[in-house]
Amino acid sequence: MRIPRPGYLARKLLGVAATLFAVLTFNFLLFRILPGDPVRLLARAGNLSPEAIERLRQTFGLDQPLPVQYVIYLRNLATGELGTSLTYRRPVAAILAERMENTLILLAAATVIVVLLGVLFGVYAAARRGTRVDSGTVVSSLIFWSLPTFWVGLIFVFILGVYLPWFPISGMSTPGAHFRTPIDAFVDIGRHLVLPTLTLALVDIGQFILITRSSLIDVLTEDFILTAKAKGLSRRRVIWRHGVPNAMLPIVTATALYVSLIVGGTIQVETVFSYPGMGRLMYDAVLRRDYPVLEASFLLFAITVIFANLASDLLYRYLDPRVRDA
Amino acid sequence: MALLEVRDLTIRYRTTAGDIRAVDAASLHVDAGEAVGLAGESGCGKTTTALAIPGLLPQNASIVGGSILLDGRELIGRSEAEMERIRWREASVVFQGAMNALNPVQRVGQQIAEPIRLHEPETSARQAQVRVDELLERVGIPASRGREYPHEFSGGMRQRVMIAMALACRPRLIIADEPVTALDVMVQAQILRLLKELREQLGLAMILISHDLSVIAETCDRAVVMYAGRTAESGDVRAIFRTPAHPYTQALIRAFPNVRRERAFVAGIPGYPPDLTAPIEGCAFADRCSVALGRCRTEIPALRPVGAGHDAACHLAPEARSCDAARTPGAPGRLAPEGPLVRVEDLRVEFPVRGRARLPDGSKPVVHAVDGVSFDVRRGEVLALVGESGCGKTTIAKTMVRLIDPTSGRIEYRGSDITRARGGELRRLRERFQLVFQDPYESLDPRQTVHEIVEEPLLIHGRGRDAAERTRLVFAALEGAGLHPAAEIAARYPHHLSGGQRQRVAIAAAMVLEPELIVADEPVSMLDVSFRAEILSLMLELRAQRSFTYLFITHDLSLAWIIADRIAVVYLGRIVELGAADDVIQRPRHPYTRALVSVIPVPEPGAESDQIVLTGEAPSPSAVPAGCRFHPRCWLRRDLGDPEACSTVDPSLVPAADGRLVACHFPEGGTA
Amino acid sequence: MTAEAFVPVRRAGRIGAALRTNWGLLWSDPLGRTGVILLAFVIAAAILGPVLFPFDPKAVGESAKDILQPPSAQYPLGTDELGRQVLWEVIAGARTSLVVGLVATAISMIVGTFIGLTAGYSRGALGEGLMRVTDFFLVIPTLPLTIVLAAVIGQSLGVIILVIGLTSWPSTARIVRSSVLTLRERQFIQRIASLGARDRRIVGIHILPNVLPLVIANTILVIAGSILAEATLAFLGLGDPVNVSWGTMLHFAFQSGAAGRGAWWYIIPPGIGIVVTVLAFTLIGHSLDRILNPRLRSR
Repeated sequence: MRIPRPGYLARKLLGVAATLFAVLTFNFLLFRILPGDPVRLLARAGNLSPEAIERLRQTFGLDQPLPVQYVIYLRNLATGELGTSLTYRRPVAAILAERMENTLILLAAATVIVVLLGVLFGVYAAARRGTRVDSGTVVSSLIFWSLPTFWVGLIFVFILGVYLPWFPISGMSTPGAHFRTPIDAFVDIGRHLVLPTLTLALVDIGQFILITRSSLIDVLTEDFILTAKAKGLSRRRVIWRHGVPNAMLPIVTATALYVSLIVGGTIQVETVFSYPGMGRLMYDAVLRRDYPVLEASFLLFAITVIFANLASDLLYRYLDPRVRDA
Repeated sequence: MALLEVRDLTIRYRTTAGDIRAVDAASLHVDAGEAVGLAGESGCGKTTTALAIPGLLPQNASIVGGSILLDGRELIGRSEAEMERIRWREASVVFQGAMNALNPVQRVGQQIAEPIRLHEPETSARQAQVRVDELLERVGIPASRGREYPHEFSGGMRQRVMIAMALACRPRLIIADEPVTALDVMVQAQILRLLKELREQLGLAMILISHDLSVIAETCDRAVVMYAGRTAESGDVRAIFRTPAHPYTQALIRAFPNVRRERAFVAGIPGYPPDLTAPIEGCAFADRCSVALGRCRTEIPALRPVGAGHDAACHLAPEARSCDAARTPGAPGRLAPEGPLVRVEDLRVEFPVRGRARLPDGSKPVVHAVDGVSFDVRRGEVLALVGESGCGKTTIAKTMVRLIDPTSGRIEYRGSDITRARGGELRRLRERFQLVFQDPYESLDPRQTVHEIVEEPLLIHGRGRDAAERTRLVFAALEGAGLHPAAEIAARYPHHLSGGQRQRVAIAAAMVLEPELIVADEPVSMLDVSFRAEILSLMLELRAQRSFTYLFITHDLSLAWIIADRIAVVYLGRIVELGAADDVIQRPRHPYTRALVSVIPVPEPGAESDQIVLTGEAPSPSAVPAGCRFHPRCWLRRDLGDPEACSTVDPSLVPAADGRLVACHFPEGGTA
Repeated sequence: MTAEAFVPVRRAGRIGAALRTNWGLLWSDPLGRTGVILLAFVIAAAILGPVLFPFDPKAVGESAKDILQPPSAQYPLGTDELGRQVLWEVIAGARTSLVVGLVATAISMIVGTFIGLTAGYSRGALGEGLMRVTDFFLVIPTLPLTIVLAAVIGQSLGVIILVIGLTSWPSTARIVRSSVLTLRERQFIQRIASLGARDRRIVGIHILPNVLPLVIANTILVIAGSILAEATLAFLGLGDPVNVSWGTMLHFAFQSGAAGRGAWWYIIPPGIGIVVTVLAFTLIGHSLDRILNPRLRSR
C-alpha cells in the first residue's frame, strides 16, 4: 500500500479548510443578514427577557458593525463559545458535546448496515441482471427510496408501540433503570438503537443498491472482465475479484451524497424516536426557535459531512491507482 | 491430427433487430505449432469464430451448429465448469487494445499470476512469483515492473504484459485478437517480432485475427479469409497472397498499398456487405463481385480445393480473376502544384505540464509539442504529415489553421501574416480552411440530420440568400461527395448511414463553403479497407475539380505514399525529412524514416527480412534529448561509431544532394 | 426530388416525434407505466377531488365525539385530533405536494442547468468559480440547510418552494457540467468550433440538446425529492400553517401522539399519499433515465 504523498494530503486539507471557512461565513451571513434585524429574530423566539437579549447582543457584538461582528463570531467559534441556548439556558457547546456522540453511534450503525447490505444486494442484482430477482431488487429499492423516513419511523412506533412491544420506541436507554453490569446497560442501549437504525437503513439502502448495481453492470461490460473469464475464472470470482473492486470507485464517490442523505434521515429518525442526539436537538430548536442551538447544530452537521467527503476522497485515492499517481 | 479443428460452425446473435447469423458454417483448422491468420473486415465473424473456441461468446450468442475439436475433444456443449478448466490452460487469448483488457486496479504481476494459481493450485505464491518474473523478462519487461499498475505502461508495453499473461499456463494455442491494432507501426513491428520469436521458442500454435492482411502475410503460415460469416478462402499464405482464388480475397489484397512495389493507387470494393439478419441466397459476395454469374446468386458455393492445401468457396475458382483495372499507376487527378498557399516558419507550440512537477532549476516543465517547424503547403498539392502518435503532427496542423495558438513562429497565408489574426479575419480563415476528422461516428452531431450538418457551415458564415438557396448548395455538396440521391440522404441521421457514407457527409460539410485548404486528420483510419480507397479517390477527384489543397495527417506511411505529393516525417515535434512521396518512401534518407519504412507491413509474405526495428519508444516531448533528438534510438549512429555531433549538435532541416530536406548530420550515411 | 421540393425536418416536428417515441418506450416499460398510472391517479385527486367532494378540509369537529374517530360511514377515513376529516385533508394535500414539487423543481432545473452549462463550457475563472460554488453547496447537508433556511426566513408555501428549489440545484448543475465537459471534447463539437461557430450557437444548438435527455430524467427525480423534502420540512414543523399538506398532517399526528394511541387512520393515509406520489415520479424518472441515457439500457 502506498501512502499518499504529503503534497496531496496538504492540498486536500487546504481545500477542506477553505470549504470550512466558506461554511462558517455562510452560517454567519445566514443568521445575521437574511432575517434582517437580528434582534427581531431573537425576539421572534419569544420568551426572552430584555436582559437576556442585552446579554446576547453583547456576546455576539450585535451592536457593532458587520465586519466587527464577523471577527467576534470567528473568535467565539475558535474558543468554543457558541452562545447560550435560549431554551436550556446552558452553553450550546456543552449541549452539543452530549448529543454528538449519540448521533455518531446511530450514523455509524446505519452506515455499516447500508454499505454492507447495499453492496451485497446491488452485486447480487447486477450479477443476475434481467432476471426476476434483479427487477424485484430494483423495484424494492425504488420503493424504499420513495419512503419518507419519518413516516417509516411512525409506522414502526405504531406497530411496535401498540401491537408488538419487542423493542423500545423512544429514547436511548430505559429511563430510571438500574443495571447490574455494564453489559446490561450496553444491551439496553442496543435495544433502543434497533428501531432508529433499522428505519434509517431501510430508507437509505435503496439508493445504495441502485448505485452499486448500475456501477457493477457498467464494469461488467468492460474488456478486462472478458479477460478474467478467458483465464478460466468462475463467474463468482470474475465478479468479486475483478468486477466489484472496480465498481467500488463510483460507489465511494456516491457515499458523499449518501452522507448528506443519512444526516437528513438522522434528524427525522431521532425526532420520531425521541433519540437524544443532534437531530432531535435540532428539531426541538426549530419548534422553540432556539437560534443559537439551530445555528450550531447546522454547523456541526455541515462539518460532519465535509469530513465524510474528505474520507471518501482519500479512500477513492487509495482504491484507484490511476488517481493515486496523478 | 490437427490441434484445433473447427467445422461448419454456425453462430447466431439475438438482437432487437432480429437474429444475426454472425458465423455461417465456417471452418478452419490449426496444426500444432502453426500460425493461422483469420482475416476479414468488421462484421465478417472472425472474432466471433475465434472467441467461440474457448466459449467466450456474449450471452445473446448461441452456437446453432458445427463442431469445435481441440486435441480431438469436442468443446461445444461442455458445461461452464469444464470450459473453465480448459480456458487459458489449453487456449489463452491476447485481446486487442490491452488498456481495457487489463484490470486497472490490480498490479500486472498479480494479473499474470492469477491463472497460474487458479489452474495449478499446487503452485506456491513464491513459485508463481518466480514464473511471473520469468514471463515478464521473456516479453522484454523488467521483472520489477510487475508491481506496477496497467496505467503506468505504454500501449506497447501493455500488449507485452498481455502476451506474458497469455503464456502463463503454457498453453498450446494462443488466440490473438487484433494484437497490434491501434499501436504505432514501430511498436507493432516490435510486438509482431516478439510473437514470432515466442512461437518459435515455445512451439506455440496461434490464431491471429486481423483486419490487416499485411500483418497476416508477415506473421502467419496459413490464412483464412472470412466474408459475411462464411469462410471464403483458406490456404498457405504464399498461395493466398500470390494466387488468390476468391474474387473477394483478390479485391481485399488490392485494397492494401504495397511499398515494396511500384506506386499504385489502391482499389476499393464497390457496394456494402450483405445484411446478416436475412438469409443469403447463393454466394454472399455475389453483389459486389465483378465476375459473378447467375449461379452465384442462387447456389451457395462450397469450400473446395483449388490447389495444394488451398481451398476457396467460389463457383469460378480458380479461374475467377476480378478485373485489375482499378489498380492504376499513380493516384487519380494529380495536378502540378503551384506556389505556396500557406507557409509556416519556425513554429513552436508549448503546453505547460499539468501538476506541480518542477525541473531541477525550479522552472515548470513544458511539453514541446511543436519544436521549431518550417514548411510550406503548395497550392493544389497533397502534403502528408506522417509520424507516430504523440509526435505533434496534429498539433502542427491545428496550429497552422489557427485552432491552437503558437508559442512563437510565423504563419503566412497567401503572403499575409495570420499568426495573430483574430475577429473577422479569423472567421474568414475558418471559411477558407476546413477540417475532416478521423472518426466519422464521432465528428457528426447525432441529433442533426445530414441536411442540417451540411447546411450549418453556410449558416455560420451567412452564405446563401435563403433556405432554398442553401438547400441547393447542400444538395450540390452531397452529390459532389458521391451521396446519391441527395434528397434521400439529406433527411437521414448519421446513425442511419454506414461509416463510409458518414465520412462522405463530413467531406460534404467541409467542401460546402468551397474552401482552399482541407486538413484531413486520419480521415480513413476508422474505415474498413474496402471503403478506404473510395474516400481517398473522392478526395483526389475533388481536388482536381475544385482545386483544393490538402494537408493529410496520418500515422500510416503507405497511405501517405499513395495519396500525397510530398511527405513530411515528424519525430518529437520536428520535421526530420521532407520530400516527394516516392523519394521519402522508396529512398528514405533519415535513419528514422528508413526504420519506419522498413517495418511497414505489406501484403506479400516473406518481405519482412530487412526490417530495422528500433527499440523502445519515442521519449516524452517534455524531455527532448540534447543534440539530434533521434540520436538515443539511432541505429545509424551506432553503425557509424557514435560520432560526437549526433549527441551535441541539433541538426537543422537542410537540402540533401537530391533536393529533399533531411535533418541529419549524415544524410548520405549508409546509403552508398 | 429537387432541392426546391425538399422539406427539411422542422425542430418542432422532431421534438414531437421524439416525444411520441419516448412516450411509447415509457409506456412499454412496466415500471414507467406503473409510474404514469400512479401519477394520473394523484393528479386526478388533486384536480377532481375538491370538485367531487366540496368539503372544507379545515372544518373542525363539533364535539369531543368527533375527535380521533376511526373510519366509519360518517367519517370515511376517520378524524384527527381536532375532529377534521382525514379523507378531505388527504385529498387537499395532493394539490400542495404537486405544486411544491413542480415549482421547486422548475427553479432547481433552470438554476442547475444554467450554472452547469456555464461552468462546463466557459474555461477560466468563471467556470472554475461556479464549480466551486456548486461543490460547496453539494457538501452542505441538504435537510439541515433547508431546515435552517425555512426557520430563519419564515413559513409560507412560497418560502418552502424557494428554499427547496434553491437547495436542490447543485446535483443538476454537477450532472450537466460533467456532461458538458465530455461533450466539449467530442469531435463533432470540435468540428463545429473549427468552422468558426460562435459559443452561443455551439451551446444552444449542439450542447444543450445533447444534455437535455440527462436533465429531463434527472428533473423527474428532483420532483420526487422535492415532494419528500416538503413533507419532511412540514413534518418537522416548518410547513405552511395555512395550507393542508401531508407533511403537516403527520406533524400534528405525531404531536398529538396518534401513533402511540393506535390512530392508524391518521398516520397511514397521508403517508400513502406521499409514497404514491413520490414513487410515481421515481418510477417515471428511473424509466426515462434508462430510455434517454442508453448507457444503462439493457443490451
